[in-house]
Amino acid sequence: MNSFSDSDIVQGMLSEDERLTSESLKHLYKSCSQMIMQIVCSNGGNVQDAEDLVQEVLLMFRTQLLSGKFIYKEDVRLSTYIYRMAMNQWITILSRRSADVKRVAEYHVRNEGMDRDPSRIFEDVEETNTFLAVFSKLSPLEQDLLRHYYDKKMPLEQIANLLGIKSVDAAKMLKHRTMLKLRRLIKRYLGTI
Amino acid sequence: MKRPLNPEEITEWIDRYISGEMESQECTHFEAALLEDYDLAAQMEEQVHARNLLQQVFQEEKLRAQIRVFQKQEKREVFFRAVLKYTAAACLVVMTSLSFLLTSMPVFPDSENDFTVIRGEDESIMRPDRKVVFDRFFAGQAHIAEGQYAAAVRDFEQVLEEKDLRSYFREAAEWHLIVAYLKSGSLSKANDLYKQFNTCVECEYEVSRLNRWKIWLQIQYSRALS
Repeated sequence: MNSFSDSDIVQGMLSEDERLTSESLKHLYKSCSQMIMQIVCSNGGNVQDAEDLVQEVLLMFRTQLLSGKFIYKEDVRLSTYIYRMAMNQWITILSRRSADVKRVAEYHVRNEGMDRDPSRIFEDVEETNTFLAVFSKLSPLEQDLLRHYYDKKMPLEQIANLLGIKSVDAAKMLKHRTMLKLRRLIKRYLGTI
Repeated sequence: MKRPLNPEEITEWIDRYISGEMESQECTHFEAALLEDYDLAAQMEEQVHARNLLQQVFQEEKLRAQIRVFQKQEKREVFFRAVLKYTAAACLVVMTSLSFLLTSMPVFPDSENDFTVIRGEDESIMRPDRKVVFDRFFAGQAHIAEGQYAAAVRDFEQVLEEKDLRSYFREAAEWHLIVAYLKSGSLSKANDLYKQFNTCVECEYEVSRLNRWKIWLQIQYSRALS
């Protein structure tokens, strides 16, 4: 693998060339993943936690890069910045976990004897503030339909066959209703973007 | 140019505009309708937000999938490196062990001055011919230690010509003779003599399994090389 400098990585990740973005991401991953694994595994986490955090941190970094929140400077190493991000994020996750444990205990004490649906204990407001969280509120079929139509650019006839929808008209109707549902979810959880 | 009235078709119409799939005339018509119809403009804005969200989500999914691929590749690399490392270590252990077994001298019980061979015999009243046999045995051991294997072969062959030998003493002489044959190059004699100990049930002269293997390995290795 040819070596990429921090500057190359940043430019690559801002690029519209998918191949270049992918190559830059790979270099960033190679330079940071072990460091993030160590942070997690030395601080109460396991390998799965570490792998999840690697994904989260790299994606967060990219989002910050694209939004302009992170501006690359030559005197600061990317790995230093990502180390801080990873450490902060891991601390947040640990705090959330211990808060969840505390909330469960408090909930049970408060509602002992009451007949409530335990699956509705938590409505994680923080989680719904992200795009992915909003999208995940659609059903798997709805998600697949939108993915095939808007991302993979498949025709509705093909999508209908793939997803087992009875007809093209039914697929069209489902797509329309799903988009309306998504628009309502966006209004509800994200306000205006 | 008629604008759609059906809600599904309106969404489809908006989508085509956002995707840039409209021809210029239809585009102009759509933009004019946007200016006139507040509801259409609101729907347009919502659809743009929704399409932006979808674009972000799909891009994130792709990048996340790529990172997972990197993670899988890395795990495979780590696994193969570990396999390589342990295989190399195992090979080194095997080579070292083989080297030891093939080159080191077999060790017999109390190799120097094994007085058990003359156990029960009072040297002061021992017959001269018996004493010669024992002396020849110890001389054979000394010849092996000095690397004079041909002389050692003669010594132990002569010892074994003696008829009235205790089993312990006979077996000791035979084991030493095997080593002398091996070291002097008489490999088939060494092998034939070694084989008789495979069926030995009540052997008295205890040669450890490690040393038996050593002798067997050295015989087979020398035969393979010759």
